[in-house]
Amino acid sequence: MDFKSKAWPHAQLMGAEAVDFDDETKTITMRFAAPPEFITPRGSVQGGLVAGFLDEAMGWAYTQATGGTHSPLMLDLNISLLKPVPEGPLLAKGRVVKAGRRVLFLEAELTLVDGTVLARSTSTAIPTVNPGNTG
Amino acid sequence: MARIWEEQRSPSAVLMGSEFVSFDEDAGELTTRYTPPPEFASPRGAVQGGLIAGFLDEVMGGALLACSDGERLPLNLDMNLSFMRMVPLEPIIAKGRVVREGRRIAFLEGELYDEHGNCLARATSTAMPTAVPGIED
Repeated sequence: MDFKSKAWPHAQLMGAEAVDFDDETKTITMRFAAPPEFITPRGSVQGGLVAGFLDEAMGWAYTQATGGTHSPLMLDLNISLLKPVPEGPLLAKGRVVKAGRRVLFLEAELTLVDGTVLARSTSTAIPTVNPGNTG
Repeated sequence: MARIWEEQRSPSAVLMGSEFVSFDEDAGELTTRYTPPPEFASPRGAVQGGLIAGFLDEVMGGALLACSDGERLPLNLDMNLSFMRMVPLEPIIAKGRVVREGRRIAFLEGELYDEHGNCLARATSTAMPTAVPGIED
């Protein structure tokens, strides 16, 4: 799929890679790799930084749903941290719950490669022209 | 005891360029400066929204650590964030407070400010206080 996410510094840091986008459910599947710099003394990713992966998955779900023309500017972000997130490979699914003209509702789930759910998020956002759409 | 909330206590704190500014014991408020690394930049030229939570988590955790005299760190169960303004790739000030600490659950909050004092983002968190990992022995 046409996907330029990895060009951006933050996406590179998190090892972001798109796997698949389902247009019917507006759901994107992404791979990540949690870097060693994200780790706390507990030996897992710092809770706040977990939001980085979730934000990326939610953002790309909407960007893909618009065919790359728009991206979300987030107003709020709520995360539930179900299990510690280890360093290394992760999967995320991001979904557009509702895309209105003025407001968007997004959600995402972060899992281990075997599907174990680690964290969930929801976000309220506004649509803007994709600042990364240089092509 | 070492005042570990004044140090860069983890790889994540090093990554975010954490620098202790002050701790107000009466208000239970920790103030920290962060320098967002260039790797946090989104296509908007500001810090990616999710990664903003990194600074707020760090300062809220530091507040509980300072308020408990270095004995307890929060294990976050949830975090709720409001993004008021873009967070620039330049030094920012973070303030974190313990709203209430019970035996099993702590409620925390924090804000980020730019150098002019504009509030950029806010967070609240529900967490479980635990012993600080790695300093038991």
